[in-house]
Amino acid sequence: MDERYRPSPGTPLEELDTPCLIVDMDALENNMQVMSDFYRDRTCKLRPHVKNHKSPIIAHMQIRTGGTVGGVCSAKVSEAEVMVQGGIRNVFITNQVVTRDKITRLCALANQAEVIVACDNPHNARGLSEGAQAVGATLGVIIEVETGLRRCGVQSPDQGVEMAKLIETLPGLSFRGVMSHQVIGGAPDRETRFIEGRRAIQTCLDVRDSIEAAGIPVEIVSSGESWTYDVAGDIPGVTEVQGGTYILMDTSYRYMSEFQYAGKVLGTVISTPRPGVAIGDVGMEAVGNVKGLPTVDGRPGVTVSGLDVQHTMLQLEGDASLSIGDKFLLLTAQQDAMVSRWDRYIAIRGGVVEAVWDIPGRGAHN
Amino acid sequence: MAVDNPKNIADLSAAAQATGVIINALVDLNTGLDRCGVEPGQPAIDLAKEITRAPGLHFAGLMTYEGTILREDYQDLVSESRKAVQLVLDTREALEKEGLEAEAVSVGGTHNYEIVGAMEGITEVQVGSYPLMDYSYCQYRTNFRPAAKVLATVVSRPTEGSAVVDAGHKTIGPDKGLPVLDGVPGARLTRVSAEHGVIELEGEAQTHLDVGTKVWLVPWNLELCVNQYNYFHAIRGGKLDAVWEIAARGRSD
Repeated sequence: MDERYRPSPGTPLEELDTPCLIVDMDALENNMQVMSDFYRDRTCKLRPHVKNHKSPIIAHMQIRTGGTVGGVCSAKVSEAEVMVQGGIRNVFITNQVVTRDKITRLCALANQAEVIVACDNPHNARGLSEGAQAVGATLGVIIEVETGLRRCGVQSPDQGVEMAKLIETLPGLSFRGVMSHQVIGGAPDRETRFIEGRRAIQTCLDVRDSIEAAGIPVEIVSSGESWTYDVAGDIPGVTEVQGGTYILMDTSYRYMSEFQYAGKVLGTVISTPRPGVAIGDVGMEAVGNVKGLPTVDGRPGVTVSGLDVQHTMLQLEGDASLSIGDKFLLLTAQQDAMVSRWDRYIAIRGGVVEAVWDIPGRGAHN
Repeated sequence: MAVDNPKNIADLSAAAQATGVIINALVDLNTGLDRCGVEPGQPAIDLAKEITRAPGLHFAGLMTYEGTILREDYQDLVSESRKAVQLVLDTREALEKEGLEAEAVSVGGTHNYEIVGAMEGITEVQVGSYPLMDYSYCQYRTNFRPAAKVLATVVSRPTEGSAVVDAGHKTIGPDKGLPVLDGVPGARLTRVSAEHGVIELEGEAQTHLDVGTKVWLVPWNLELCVNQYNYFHAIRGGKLDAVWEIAARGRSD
């Protein structure tokens, strides 16, 4: 297909070439509204995570809809560059940036927008300070706290205090606060979400308390995510929540039923080799398989029985039937691992194309 | 191109006539993968005849992908490959008796290129993984070496026994399996999330991999990894030789 394939507004969904990445505008707007309604009158605000959609257009929509800190967070320096180039003025990179080249880029960006970065290591803090001084920038630094993920982060309040004291003394750096990220498996009920979310986030608040007890003010506590947006948002002391998955959603968050599926992949049946079986043109390269098989949306009796690199294996039961050329929609189990495979979104409203948006953050891995 | 369905043949024929071109169509056979493809023998012959009757199409031959027969035991691989491919050759012979010539017989892959490539009547072998290779194939086909790897940086050393790198789902494509950490004894990549890879360190390895250290990851499945990137960085003798755009990236359609 043409690399510049851009169906005109008004093109019906069923006439689109496939596979293609769809954004359901009604669902997208619902999801932003849910967040806006929740955060608008609270002290705590949402900081949308752009690693999930990699699109400044969507980031601006999130900020406009309301309830946010007025900025975003990203996973990578390259994503932050894309956002600043796209007109976003405040970006928090929620990961460690350690190599010299990347620190240079980070600090250059800090001269163009308000930039904050996560840190969990004294040597890295010194490297950031040198980078910031070299270009005369002031870089915000937030200490990452380990709260159960067993990934990055300081491991204790003492370690947090040491880091905060060091950052306070380093020229070019401005100590801003603490952050943590939590995950939960399965499909927790509301009570479980509140218990598990509060417990993890308390670990982050304990580090904040120790830092403040050492006489260093902590301005930002950035914790919580889509599955804890309503938990973290009401914990006193949490100033912002990093919400990412809620915007496009995926089936592993299906228990968060106030959010609707906005990101989907449209496919076409290309072969019907045996009774009860149809093969589609959506494979792992288009939809991703990192958290399990995708789910067929809105076709009762049709399920995904397998996925190859370029093929969907669809199983038909009961009255379900599919012919060659028929279209089907797939929902992914991990939304950001799906989006990172695409160059553009096709935004759909009322069954027809409304817009085509490039994904300038695609391939922004570094 | 490959076809396995009469309606598809009719559509291709109509499109070929409309633009005045001739499309070479190969009948895709199911030889055990149970994905696309018609059954060998009569169903394949019927479809081949359908192609010869369709204006704008030229019956060009037969193909199959028998990719699920990768075996650790080489003799098993040989016998399974031959068995699958023989179904295609038998179909070709039956076609000849009906007066239809299959010019191209296209089968096989990196896993059995030399086995099926030596079978009489096979005109071409569809190999893809061998130039860049990946970890899943390296175990079986040791004459090929992994040429494509992901270079990652240690961004955190939260505990003595663990290191975190800046490569996760989006940079590795672990849909079929985890990548393998190359060249650091005692260090093993044990899990990945969207943006992070977590390495567990034992013994001596705990003293290596400071923050900032670079490590190599060999993808489990190469095409899922390549599909995530816009560029290859070509390395020769430890230095950057060239940067190539991945022109077909994102071409899922």
